Amino acid sequence: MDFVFKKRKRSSVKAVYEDDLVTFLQANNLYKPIIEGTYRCRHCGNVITIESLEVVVPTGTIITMVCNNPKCLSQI
Amino acid sequence: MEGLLTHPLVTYFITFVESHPVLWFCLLLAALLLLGVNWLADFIPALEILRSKIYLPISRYLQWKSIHKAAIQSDVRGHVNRELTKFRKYLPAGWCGDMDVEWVRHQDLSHTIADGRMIVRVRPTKCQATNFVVLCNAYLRSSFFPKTEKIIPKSHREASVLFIGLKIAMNRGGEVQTMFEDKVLEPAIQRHKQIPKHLEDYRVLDKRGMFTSKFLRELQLTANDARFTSARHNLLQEVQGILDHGKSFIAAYDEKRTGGEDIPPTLWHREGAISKYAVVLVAKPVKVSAGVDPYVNRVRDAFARGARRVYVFGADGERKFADSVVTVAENLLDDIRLVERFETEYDYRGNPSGCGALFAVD
Repeated sequence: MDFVFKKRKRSSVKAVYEDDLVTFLQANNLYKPIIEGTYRCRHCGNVITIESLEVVVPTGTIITMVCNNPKCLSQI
Repeated sequence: MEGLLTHPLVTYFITFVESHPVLWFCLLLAALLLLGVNWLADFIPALEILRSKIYLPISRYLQWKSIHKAAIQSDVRGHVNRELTKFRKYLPAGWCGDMDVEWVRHQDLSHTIADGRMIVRVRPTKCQATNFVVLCNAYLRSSFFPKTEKIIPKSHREASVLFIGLKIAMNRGGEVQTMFEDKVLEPAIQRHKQIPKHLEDYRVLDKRGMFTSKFLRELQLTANDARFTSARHNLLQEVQGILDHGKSFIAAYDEKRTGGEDIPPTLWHREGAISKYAVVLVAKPVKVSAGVDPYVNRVRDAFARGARRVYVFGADGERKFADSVVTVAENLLDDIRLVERFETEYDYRGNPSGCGALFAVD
């Protein structure tokens, strides 16, 4: 009956909803660089676009991105 | 207050309620039911799925983004947690707690850099299979091998997550399974050619309850032991040794069961460069009458021979007896500690449901 009295500890996965993506990117000064084609997928090296962006990954002190290619997505 | 009660709108509302008591009683009951489901959904994954089923049509009808996000969150969280609940009892303690989806919108990315967690894009699809597969995969990857994920050989780390992910996907079946196989498993195999072989080997161990119970635990503990030593560079050989030992042990056990020779004494122990452990099987039904002492002595002897860990396995039919062995060993043997008791999906004979325990010497 633990569940009645106490919420179980959860670990969260961070997610950005489709409609909030542009707001999120703009808030972090990432929108313009993506539009300009500055970012590349960390796995396949293809240019990241707003349509192809699937995951934002912190790597050390920098931000990297993963595209929507299943091969790249399966490595996240 | 008196003025508010005499306001024409309030008066009209009260008159309407008084003239439609059944309707209002039903509406009140429905509201209470929704509130109840909403509250309980935080504790019970099945109700979280029910909550998402209530939210989704409402959000589609009203076109409210916040309700749609809540519906997706509930759907993915409910389904992932329902499946995880089935597998969590087999996994090492502390792995794969309940999953949550944390929405980010204006979040400063410096937080993400600091906590090291990735941000996954979630699309508002009619079919939630894509969101389920992407988020479940991301969650499993972040939950397996805490603190040792950078040391564990990549092919085994990937294959272990895929093995459990595939079991979860197969359990859900339908589009989720197809999507997992096509979008996650196949691309992973394209990258690591060893993965199919690893998955085959894991299946052999898993059918005898020795994948999550022994292999994953030993992998994690071995990596932890090697973490700050030069041995961390030789983990691939060590992991392969653990895997080969598990397969050889099962093959020898099967041979013995079919009237062949006894399991060679050397197979009850494994002495690798880092990983030194022993296996104790409890209990052959005819030997149960001899009491727990022979098994407790085996645990003691294993440590005396240099094992750092001992895995005790019990079959479902003799669960109580296996529990007694573990309890007596825990109370009787000095200088060793019971790390954890665990459940296995299959017992060492291959029948559904088994149990076990891990002892270690510090």
